[in-house]
This record gives sequence, C-alpha cells and structure tokens, in this order.
Amino acid sequence: MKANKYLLLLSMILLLLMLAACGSTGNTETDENGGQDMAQAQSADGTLTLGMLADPDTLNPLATTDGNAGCWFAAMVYPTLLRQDENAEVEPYIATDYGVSEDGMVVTFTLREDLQWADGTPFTSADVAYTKYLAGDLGISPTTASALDLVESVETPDDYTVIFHLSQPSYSFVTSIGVRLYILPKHIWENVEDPANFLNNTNQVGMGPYKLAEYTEGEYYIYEAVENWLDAPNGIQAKKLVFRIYPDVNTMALALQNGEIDITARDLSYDLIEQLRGKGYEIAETNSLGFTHIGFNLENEFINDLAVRQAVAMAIDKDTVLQFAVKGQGEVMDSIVSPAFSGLQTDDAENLYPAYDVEGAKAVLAEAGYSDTDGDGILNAANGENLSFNMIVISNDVALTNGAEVIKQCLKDVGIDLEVMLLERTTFIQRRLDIDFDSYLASWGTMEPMMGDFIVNYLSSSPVYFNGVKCDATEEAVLAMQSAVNEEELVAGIHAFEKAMAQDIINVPLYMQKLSYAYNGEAVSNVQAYPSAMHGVTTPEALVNMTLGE
Amino acid sequence: MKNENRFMIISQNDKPKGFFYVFFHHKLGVCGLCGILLFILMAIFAPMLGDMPQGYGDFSSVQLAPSAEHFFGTDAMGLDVFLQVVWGARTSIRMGLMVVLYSILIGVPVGLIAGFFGKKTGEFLMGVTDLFLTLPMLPLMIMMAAILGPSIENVALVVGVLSWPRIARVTRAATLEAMGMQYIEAAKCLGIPTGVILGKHVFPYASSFILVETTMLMATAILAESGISFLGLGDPTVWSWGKILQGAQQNGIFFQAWWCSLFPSIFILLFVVSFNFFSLGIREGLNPRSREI
Repeated sequence: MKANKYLLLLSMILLLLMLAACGSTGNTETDENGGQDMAQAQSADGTLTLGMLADPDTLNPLATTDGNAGCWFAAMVYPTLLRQDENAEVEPYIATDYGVSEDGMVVTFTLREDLQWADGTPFTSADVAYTKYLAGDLGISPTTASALDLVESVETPDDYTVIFHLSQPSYSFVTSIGVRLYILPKHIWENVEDPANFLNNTNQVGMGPYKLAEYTEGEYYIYEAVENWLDAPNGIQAKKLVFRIYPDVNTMALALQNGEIDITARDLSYDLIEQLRGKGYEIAETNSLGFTHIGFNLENEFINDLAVRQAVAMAIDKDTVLQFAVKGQGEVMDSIVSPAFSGLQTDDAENLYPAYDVEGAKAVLAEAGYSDTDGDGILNAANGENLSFNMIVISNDVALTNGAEVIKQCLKDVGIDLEVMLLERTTFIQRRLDIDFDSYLASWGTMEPMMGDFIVNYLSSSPVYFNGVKCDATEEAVLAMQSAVNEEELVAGIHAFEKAMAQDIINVPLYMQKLSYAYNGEAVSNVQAYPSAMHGVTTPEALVNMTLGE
Repeated sequence: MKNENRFMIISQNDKPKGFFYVFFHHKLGVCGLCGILLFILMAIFAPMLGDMPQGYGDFSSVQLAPSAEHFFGTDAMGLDVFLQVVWGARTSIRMGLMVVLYSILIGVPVGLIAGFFGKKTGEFLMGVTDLFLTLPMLPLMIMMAAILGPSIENVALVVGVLSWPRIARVTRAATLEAMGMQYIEAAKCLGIPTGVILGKHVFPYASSFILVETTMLMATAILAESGISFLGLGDPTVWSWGKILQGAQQNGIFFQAWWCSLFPSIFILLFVVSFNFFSLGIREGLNPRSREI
C-alpha cells in the first residue's frame, strides 16, 4: 500500500511537470516576448502581419542572393546609395547626388550629411568605403562582385564624398552599385571576425525603417520600426512587422482569409487572386522586372552540345507554358531583354531565339547524331546513353512546378528525357550557387539591363554565373556592356548581348509575369506594390506608407 | 445462446464450420473483399480505361467539373482526374504489397526468433521492436524520404522499415503460443533442426495471425504513402491519390475545383476501409469460437 501511495505521488508530480512543460514554447527568446507578440499580432496597435513562403537564405545583407526574403530584409534594415521609385526610376537615397567623369573611370557619390546609424553613430563616407572593402576586396557579395571588381581604389576626400576610381570605364557602375550594394556601418562590421559567414541575427545596426526584433527559423520574423526614419518624419504607422512563413501560396491565402495575416508579401497565382478578389480582398499589382527562364549548366556533356540547347529552345511551347504557369497573366519572351524594357530590345528581338518548331528540334538533334537506338522513345547519344538531364525547380512555387510539367512534356515530344527535381527554396538557392544541377527553372527577381544586371549574372567570373562554362560570344558582349562609358555604348552592348545569348543559348527566356499581392482592406490600406518581386510590397517606402486599420 | 452451445452434445457427424463459411457470412468482411477486388481490377485494367495522364492537357479543358466526358472532372493541368485516380490505384496496391513484403521479411524472422529462443534473445529483440514502435513515424518518413529521394520503392522501404514491429509482435505472440503445444515439444525431442521446426511447424501456425496483421498494414501503407505524396515527397513519375490531392492544394483549387480533392479522398477512404473490413472478416474466420458448431 505504501509503495502504491509513493507511485501515485510520483505520477502526480510527473503529470504536473508535464502540464507545466506544456506552457513553455521552449524558445527562450520567444518566452519573454515572442509568444505574447505572436498571440497579439493581430490585435496590437501598429502591427502588420505579412505572409511569406520561405526563410531568407541569410540575414547577412552582403551574402544574400535570394531574390525574395533575403533582399527584402536587407533593404528594410540597410540603406543603399540610390533606390528605385514606384516606376522603377532611379532616385537618390542616402546619396544626394552622383556623377560619372567623362572618361567613365571616376564615379563620385555625394552623401547626405544629416544621417546617423540606429545606434546614433554618424554616417560618413568611411562606411561606404568599408562596405566596398567587405563586398569587393573580401569578395563577400556575389551580387555586386562583378561591378566591384572594376574598382581600383576608393577615395574619401571628406566625410560626405566617396570617389570610386575604376580600372576601366563603366557606365552601369553607378546604378549597379548605387541600387544593389547595401551600405553597412563600419564601426560594427570592422569588429566582425568572419563577415562572410556572419549570421547578423541580433542587434542589427542599420539605417533602414526597421530592425530585426526576433525570429524563429521556419516560423516567423518580427521587425520593429525605428524612431525618426529619414523618410518618415511623422513616424511609421506599421510599428511592428510580423512575417509568418507558410508552406505554399494556398495556405498563405487561407491565412489571409482567416485573419492570420493582413497582406501577402509574396505574389499569388491568378486563381487565388481571382478567388480573393471575389471575396472582397484588395489586390496590389505591379510588373515583374525579372522573368522566368531555363538556365543551363554547360558542364553537363549533353547540355554542352549547342544542338541540344537549340533543340530545347525550339521544343518548348512558351505560350502553353505561360498559360499553365500563370494562366496567361504575362508575356512570352523571345529575347533575353524583357518586354518590360521593350525600348532596349533590338528591332528583330522576336526572331533572335529559334522559334517553336518540334520537327525542327527533332531535325537538329538527328543532325547532331542523336537517335533512338533502343526504341524507348528517348534519343541516345553515339555511346548509347539516353539523352537525359535534370532540371531543379522550387517546389512551393506552383507557377514553376506547372511550367516544369509542360516543359518536361515538350522535351519528351522531341526525345529528350527531363527529370524534374522539386527542391525546397533554400536548397534550390544553394544548389544553384554550387552549380549542382544540369538545368534549372526559375524567375529572376529583377533583371534590369541598364543597371548592369546582365553583367552581374552573365559575366563568367561572377559568383552568380550559374552556367558553369564560359561562352565566348556572350562573354564578349557582357564585357562590352561593362566597359560602356555612356548610354549609347551600353545600349549597343545590350543589343550585342541579346544576340549573343540567342546564339549561345545558355538561358532560354520563357515569360515575364504580372505580380499580384492580396491584402485585407480593413486592416491595411494605401498599399503600393513596387516593380519586381525583389521589392513588391516589402519595399521600405511601401511599408512605411501603409495605413493601418482603415 | 453461444454458451448454451458449448454444452451441447456433439455427434460424430457434426464438424466445425470452415473458415470460408464463417468469412462469407461476415458481411463487413465480404464488403471489404469486394472493395479490394474492385481496386485490384481497377489497377489491372487501368491501361484499358485510358493512358496514364502525363504532362498537360488542352488549356480549354482546365478545371472542368465532372461530366460524361470526364467522370471526375479535370485538374489545373487539364488532365483527367478519373484516370489519375485509376492509375493511382496501381500505385496504392504496389506500395501496399511492397510494404507488406518488407515488413514480413524483417518482422517474421524477428518474431519467430524472439518467441522460440530463450528469454534473453527474446527480450533483446522485443526491446528493439518496442524502440521502433516508439519512433515517430511521420517525421521519420519525411526525413528518410527526403534523404533517399522521391520514388515509390523508397517510400515503401521507409514505411516497411517502420512498420515491421507490428508483424514481429504478432509473430512472437503466436510463436510463444505454439511453443507450449505438444507437437513442437515432440519435434524438439526428435532432434529436428530448429530452422525446420520454425519453418515447418511454428510459422504455419503463426501465419494466420500474420495474415490478419498484413491486411491492416496495407491500409496503413496507403495512408502513409498519401501523406508523403501530399507533402510533395512522393514519386513524381507515378500517380497516387496523395499526389492528386497535393496538386489541388498547390494550385489553390482545393475548394474551387472540389472534384480534384473529393474523389482521391474518397478512394483513400474506401481503400483503407476495405482492408480494415477484410481483416475483420479474416479474424472472424480464423477465430475458433466463431467456427464452433
């Protein structure tokens, strides 16, 4: 009997302990504030809750190559010298003025004198010079590496002037660096031991309208507004931003309808937008400045064969891809220059890439020596190997997964076996950086010819050159764009690049899509989507201008 | 009444009811059998009903509601949902059989050895079995499917490796029961090798119990496969009911095009219920008390 009593007592204690354990989330950071914050996300004043689909690749603003959350969060905390307005026009941000010398070798930025970092330290030209040291000399920033490679030296004659001396003329340098390079505080980052791998997940000191308060990977990110942001003298209404992660757009749309979130930070599919519009939700729309494309890794022996790349370009019915991927909400592309920049396209842009021609594709492959020797419907190379390669795709992007199905079928029709590999977003980004794929299907967040984006992504020495092997015609055209000293030369370089890409076919551009975001008009208004998926509704200016509760 | 029957005098001409007699008088069991036969026929004759839906259909036939042309409507890619469901039956049956095979290959030897050999071996093997039973199945399946890659064989392997403890436990219990029987004692005394005793005498005794458990396992297997496919970790090259649901969910048409989610769900339900009913029927048929005169 005594033993039974002790057993009962022990059971009761264990039960109580278990009940106590249920009350804790297990996250110490969250225990103090987070749990409460999340619970009150919808009700607390000044809280705006946004839905997103994946963690950022990193919170390190230099190392990010993520066209979505990675660059949204970087831009919310760190400033750039220049920025793009709601019409994608370049305007000053923390620089008041900028100029290029006549020979295109010297670029000067004049900085605002009234700025300070979040910890009160004044912002000076030394910060810009140190950021260039981190991004360029230490080679941390893949997205600005190709531009910063041109910098021979940086001069800071006074606290508010930065002069970049270039090793060769470059007209696109100003906008490329001005808009893409996040400026960091020297006094913080010079104490960081390993800036390339710095997580930057606590005590962020920036100059943007928000700073990271807390986060739990795979669940949520909370940002708090700073006092007196330079472009919000009257304060920011959305004092707290809660970004919640959902596994797919459908769940995110349901979260909007359940009142869990106020706005979708990621664009939604046409079906969902129409569904939500019908239910009274507001829609913010903008154009993508990027485009969906197939990228080839030329290290693959089949893909290295130009005939195979030509056949792929000819076999794909882009109209059908556009229909199934985004329900026709966009425009098919026949040139590497997006229709969003139609003024920059050559006159015969539509005829540069091989046209859709299934029989033609078969003929190209037959001429190159591929034939179906084993009768399985898939062509074989001379050594008998099946003409087969993989294509990596982000799994929770339905436009891409549907598009991949169409592409797979199109290639099958000409005897090419395409293995579609669906990967989680961060795995996809890493594998693409490691060139661990045969081909990929993805959308550029932005690809602006005049801002040097082609140089960033298609110069073979760039860390974000995903095509593996250098192609002479393309490389020559990229170098021509890079060394252009004026607008005319840059446009000529773009035209040459457009032709070279269609000749080398290291990418197959597919379509440019319209981006649509949904929000609850009762919770938030004055929502403006800025062009390109990199910006959208999470652009700092868009966020600070949102009005809550109306 | 049953108790009264126990005390009835049995004449020499009275024989116990046969397994089939009891089974075919068990309505649920017969319903289950009919359901299973229907699924098997559907899987066998799938190619006669239509080619496996692949790629994409006509854009004008996207998300069409059920009609005489498309019994279960079409999905976001314009493909026929009826054919997807029919071809999905093949995957389900293949998957179930593979899981059962893996489970039997691991579970039966473990159960026989644990039951036949002494205390220590038995306790050790049952300890391992219990350990596997405590493992959280879904997270492990997701992890293993992600590591091994998406193919029906890998999913079956994962589910099989995590499901064998059920078979092992049943086999051990039956073996322990058999060990107390005189004919096993006699076989031991005659010096018949252990392998022969286990294979020829103990296993046939345990097989009926194993059969009941395997039918239940088929239902578990299809639920596991649907779950993994719904999470996008299934085999992308074949149709499965979980994959149809995943497609509907990804495209945001779960409610809008209800036919894409309703029909595969019904088939998952019918498949699971059929096997559960079937196992009830078998259990009843094998139960000596049900077979009393």
